[in-house]
Amino acid sequence: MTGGVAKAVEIEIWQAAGGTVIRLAGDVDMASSPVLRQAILDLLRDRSGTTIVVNMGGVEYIDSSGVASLVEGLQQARRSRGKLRLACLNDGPRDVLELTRLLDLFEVHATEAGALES
Amino acid sequence: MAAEVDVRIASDPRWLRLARIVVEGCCREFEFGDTESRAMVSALDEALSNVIRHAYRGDTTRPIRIACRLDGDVFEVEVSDQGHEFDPVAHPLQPPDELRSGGRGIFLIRSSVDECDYARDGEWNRLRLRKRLPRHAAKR
Repeated sequence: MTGGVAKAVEIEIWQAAGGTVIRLAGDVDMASSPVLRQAILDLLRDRSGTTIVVNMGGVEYIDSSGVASLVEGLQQARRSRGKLRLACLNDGPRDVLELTRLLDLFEVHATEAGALES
Repeated sequence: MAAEVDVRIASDPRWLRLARIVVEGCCREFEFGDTESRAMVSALDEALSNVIRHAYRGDTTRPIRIACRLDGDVFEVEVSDQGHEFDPVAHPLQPPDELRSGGRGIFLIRSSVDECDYARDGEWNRLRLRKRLPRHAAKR
């Protein structure tokens, strides 16, 4: 089942001039975070200096496993001399990142364009 | 005290969102603000994920009961399961760290509610999450 109450997170990936954008829509929880993790790691695999912008404008909820996926992606990006930035954070995900004291770890931008340009 | 809302789900991550919707609805009914509602929902979701991951060790067919009730000016959510004994309250509360992948869920649970306690009751694990109502709602 992919729709209704248990809908999966939707991931759209596109290449922009300043980097690769992952647009997320839906809740990132134990059921869906492995998909996000794999998408980020696939983009970083065998590439160096890649910039990834995770647009979270469509995400109202993220759990600790989703946060772990973002942190793992950030660490992998650093190892390959790349960047992983967050854009368009809603209040829910921002609360979770603040509470887990990880918000300052990320470059967070108000807009996707701003994250690509910086 | 009887539960005012009592939901049973299978231990399948596909039902986590449904559980979040139910508890968020209770928070709205009890006039929690957005921040407090999100905190309670986050604590519930992390508790359920722990049940699936640790108590049931990934078995997606086992029962989980979510009982919501108002106790005076406190909203209580009790999560019960019949899995292996797992007490998230017993773990030392370590601040999350970039390099430590585990423990964030337990930290979120304990940081998001006013009180949480665990008991093993026969074959059941019971975790109670308690959050005080906002003052304006509690006076009603």
